[in-house]
Amino acid sequence: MPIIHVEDVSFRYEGSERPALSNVSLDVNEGEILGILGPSEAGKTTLCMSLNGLIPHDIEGEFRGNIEIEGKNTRKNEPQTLATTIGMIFQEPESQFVMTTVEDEIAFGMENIGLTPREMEERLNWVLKVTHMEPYRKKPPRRLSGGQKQRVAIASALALRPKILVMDEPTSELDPLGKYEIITIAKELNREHKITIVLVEHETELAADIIDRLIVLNQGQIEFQGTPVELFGNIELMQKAGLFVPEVTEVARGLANSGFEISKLPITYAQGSSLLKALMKERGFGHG
Amino acid sequence: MAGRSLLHKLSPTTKVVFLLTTSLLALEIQDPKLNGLLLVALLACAVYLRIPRRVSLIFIRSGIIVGIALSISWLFFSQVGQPLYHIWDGFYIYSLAIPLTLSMLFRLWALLTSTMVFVVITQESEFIAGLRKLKVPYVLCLVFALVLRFIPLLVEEYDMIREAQMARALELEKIPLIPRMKHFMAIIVPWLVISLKRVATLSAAIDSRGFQVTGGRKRTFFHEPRISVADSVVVVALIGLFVTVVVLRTWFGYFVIVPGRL
Amino acid sequence: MVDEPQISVRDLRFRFPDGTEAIKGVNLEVRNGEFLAIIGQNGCGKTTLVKQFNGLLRPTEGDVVVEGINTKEATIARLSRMVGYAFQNPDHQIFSTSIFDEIAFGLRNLGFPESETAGGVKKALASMRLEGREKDNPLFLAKGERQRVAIASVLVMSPHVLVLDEPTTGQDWRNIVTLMDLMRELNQQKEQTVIVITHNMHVVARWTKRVVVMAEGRIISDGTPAETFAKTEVLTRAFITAPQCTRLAEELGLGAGVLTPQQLLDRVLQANSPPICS
Repeated sequence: MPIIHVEDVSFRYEGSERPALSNVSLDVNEGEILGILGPSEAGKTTLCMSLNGLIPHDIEGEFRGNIEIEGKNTRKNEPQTLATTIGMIFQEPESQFVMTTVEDEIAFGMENIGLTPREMEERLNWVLKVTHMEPYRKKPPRRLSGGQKQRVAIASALALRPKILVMDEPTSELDPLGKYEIITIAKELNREHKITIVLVEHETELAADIIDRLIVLNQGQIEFQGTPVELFGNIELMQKAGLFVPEVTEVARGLANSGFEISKLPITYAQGSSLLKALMKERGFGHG
Repeated sequence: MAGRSLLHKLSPTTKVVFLLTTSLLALEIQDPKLNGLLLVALLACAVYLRIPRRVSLIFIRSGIIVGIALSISWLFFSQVGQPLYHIWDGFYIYSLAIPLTLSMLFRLWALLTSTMVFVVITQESEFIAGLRKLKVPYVLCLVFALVLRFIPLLVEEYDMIREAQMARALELEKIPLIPRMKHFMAIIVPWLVISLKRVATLSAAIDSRGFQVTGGRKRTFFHEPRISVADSVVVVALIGLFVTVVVLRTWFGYFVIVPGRL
Repeated sequence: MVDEPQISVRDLRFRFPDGTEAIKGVNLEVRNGEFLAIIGQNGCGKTTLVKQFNGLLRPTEGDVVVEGINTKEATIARLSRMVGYAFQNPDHQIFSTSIFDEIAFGLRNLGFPESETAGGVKKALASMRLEGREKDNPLFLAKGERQRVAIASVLVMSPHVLVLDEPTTGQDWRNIVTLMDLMRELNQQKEQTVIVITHNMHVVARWTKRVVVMAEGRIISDGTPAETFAKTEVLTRAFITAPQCTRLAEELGLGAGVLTPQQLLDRVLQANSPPICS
């Protein structure tokens, strides 16, 4: 059974004319990293908020369809209840924080679900270790770098031990170092701690490194569902959705069009490098 | 911050009690001599704590500015006792105005010093825990914490907006008062829009981390302030002192210079 | 006529009131018609530097001279006519209920008569591909359009230098392309000097002509994108990664200076061509 089951979901914000989501259906398997790509205003954030119950409980509008998170229906379960199954990281780090030290921030969620101080201490140590934030335990989140702030946000959500983490454009506001920190943590959480991740990301090259499957949302509808390789090679679809084609993929496509045999399109730098090296060796480039 | 002094180690509840009782004591006592004594005691605490200049400067500055304003208004405008000095056409300084003004001044400084001491010895999270121990409903404590947390952010946003508008040649100082109101919109509107967006994200984030206002789960707390012997002693002493003073003033008329007035 | 730089920064040092030294000795010249990017990790001093150009900040030591005028001797309002600054978040600027009023704001602040305002607004709208949208409410636009309104409201004052502070952050690729193409148009056709602060190396590689790299309050590199991406120690120090095609070209021994996938493709195909004489 997929851990996330979205069935024919549509949503229109209160007072809005056009729907933000139209007949969206998708499944996410446990242990996967699902990427959600698409232009601005495509409905990506709306979809994320529907996954953890903020829609329909906290946000006014017309919600149709069914979403089940580990079997729990989001209509019948409030986001507060779903919080121990599915956690959420928002785009803007600063607006997520409630408390004035990292420790208290992480404890906030645990206090909400009624853990004992001993349990809280244990989990606190665990999430600090997992997000590499141990030295910053007593620091005020305000004084941290963007990447560190997002790591605190991740730690705070993780403290409730959810099986799923939804990350809505977590790297948008960060500098390259911060972006790299967050993508790396997402990968570690998935590979080492088996956490299912739903990642909304604009930077396709960054996402290509970690996502297993992805969907493309455009104007509230799913325009594509499949693997990154299938998508990135489809230049027309990428352009239609206004997405950036990873440079290695673009180059490989160009080579394929020029008559080279490319069995599998590269989507990451490492793949591109191997492919081109192999091609050049095969053809004896650069000799004579 | 100057290390962990004895005062730092008190339970947050004690610290809140300290702030409340010393403030109320100051207001309850009208006699300048005793107010002066209270002030000296509080200043002694402040000195003991070795408060960083950055913090003390803020309070000292406020103390001087407000003190001057306060002294002038009380000294020249309190018509209590007998007219003593003739200043100017029909304006006198009254006999009791001087001790009353001194009392007011010492009270103001006592309140400021007490607040400064409190702020220095209490961490924000502790403060929330302290409030909570005093049976303030958690929702209110949370609201308090959020206000404390967001004030610096709001100030920062305000500055950024001001700069953005200045970069479009807005010069508020050069505009006369009435039209200036309209231009002020250029700063208030973005500020409100951004703040509202923040509030939306914040409430979504809070809910996403399981926060429930009513019903359902029982909430637990990470920081459990411990009450030591020192705490009990201090709290009993402070409250005892306060009650004694109230009784003495109300029923026996002590500490009063001008009856019927604060 | 001597080609005087539009902006001249000499031995600039800047310290914040709390003591942090944000700029530790910067020298820079920006000339008319340049299209330049300033890049570096957050906190390296990029924004602090560009805020010196329009007087929002003034040097602690050293001088910043804009079009012959020392910023220490000019008001922000005056400098904003020469250096237009569009902030990262358009929400920090937008407050009017019509695009027209929003864009006219700068002109009105500068004391332009209403008769001239309409014309200026129309031109600014056209340059940002927002023709005919005067009556729309900017507060309800999508993020990309709000950004263009904010930039138009700065352009309307006809500044000789336009500074865009992180216009790419949080934007989707389509909006980035639209915006950068518009900037290129302004730069090539109207000789508008453009300075962009960005973290996006694709933007740097594909649109800009000069790159200034900052780290810890200093400029550690100043050259063309091709030159910049070839300097590995500089990139490492500033935590910057060159575009994939650039790195691939280096790694495959196809030389430096590759900035777009097409260029890499061309070089690979060239290397594949059989030798003329065998």
